[in-house]
Amino acid sequence: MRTTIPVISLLFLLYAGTALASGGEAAGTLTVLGTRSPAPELKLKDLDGKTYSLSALRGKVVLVNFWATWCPPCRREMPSLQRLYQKLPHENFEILAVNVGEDENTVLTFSWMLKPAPTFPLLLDRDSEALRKWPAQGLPTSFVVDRQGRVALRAVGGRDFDSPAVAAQLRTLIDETH
Amino acid sequence: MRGLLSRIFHKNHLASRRSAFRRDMRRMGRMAESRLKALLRETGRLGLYLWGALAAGAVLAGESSTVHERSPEAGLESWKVSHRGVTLELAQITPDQARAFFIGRGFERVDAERYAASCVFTAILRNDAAPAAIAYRLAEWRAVRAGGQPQRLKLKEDWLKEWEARGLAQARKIAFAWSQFPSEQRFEPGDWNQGMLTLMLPRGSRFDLKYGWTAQGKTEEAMMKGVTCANDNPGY
Repeated sequence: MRTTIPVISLLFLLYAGTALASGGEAAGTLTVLGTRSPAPELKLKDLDGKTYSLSALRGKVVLVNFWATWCPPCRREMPSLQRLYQKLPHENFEILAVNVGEDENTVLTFSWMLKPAPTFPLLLDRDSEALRKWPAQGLPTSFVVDRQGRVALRAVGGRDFDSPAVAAQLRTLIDETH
Repeated sequence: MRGLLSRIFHKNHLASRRSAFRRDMRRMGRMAESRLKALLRETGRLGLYLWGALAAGAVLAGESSTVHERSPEAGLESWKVSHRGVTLELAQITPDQARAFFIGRGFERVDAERYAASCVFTAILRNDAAPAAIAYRLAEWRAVRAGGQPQRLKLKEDWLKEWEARGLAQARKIAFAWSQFPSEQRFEPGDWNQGMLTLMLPRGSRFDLKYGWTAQGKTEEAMMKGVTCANDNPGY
């Protein structure tokens, strides 16, 4: 009897824990990569025709987000990306949101509907050639590139970028000295 | 006097009977208490064992049982299975929805129609709480219909070959490729993905989906039961 109740309680907790885990939303953190490999080059134009290059942002932590307007989890996470952008210091942090396969009008119309509207660059990868250089299989996928230009964090699928844990992960990278 | 003696006798008799009754009751009480205690000991343990078995069963069976839902507004159905920390959800996409999506992406009506004729779902796979990274290959998943042979899914690559043969424009192929559920993927804990998944089954077909993944070198398998391809008038 003395051992039965704890065992049953443990089973119940396991069951409850599993039920809660399976019903929960996306995880609140980004995956920390054991080995940081150099990020592939990314050189694309934004909606105004201005060219952005990942290598030109060396020294900053850069969150590269691949997305599309028709992708529901991409749409859901976009406002929280903007709030994250507002939260972190721009001199050390940048977001490049790379739209895959769509035209300027589609992206522009979509961005007008967002609240808060994105103030980070929305880049156009019309032929998905840029995305093919990155290890992404689906949308959305996000990578965080450290100040040395290496991929340090990754998120497959949508995330809640309002999560304090995500901001803490990024601040840790921003504070890295080497 | 007789009356007095009779009353005294009666009183004593009553007192004696009450006393005997109390003794009997106390004895019966002790017996009942003893039996009840024994019964409680046995049934209590049995009950707890049963409860434990039920809880364990819920953990093992409930975790991988199929949860079926129907949206009250659209009448569309969805199925969800959670097994060993991995959750798969399939939600019906009607022919109308599939057609509209690809016409919206610039497809010719005939091409959109070709896709809409297949059995289409939105698939969501999550590594919610698996102890490590998982990797899946859609090529290994099978749809099993009652009395039928297990059937493979129609993968993104199969479609892309068809679109190539039909001369679909590059922009359309790109939109198509990224909208489909990836054929292979690796999910760290917390990772997930969503995309369109097709089977070459007639609309309205009912099947079980046998699916799986590998984690830490071990293959895990699960079954989603009673999945139904949508018709244009869901719920009717």
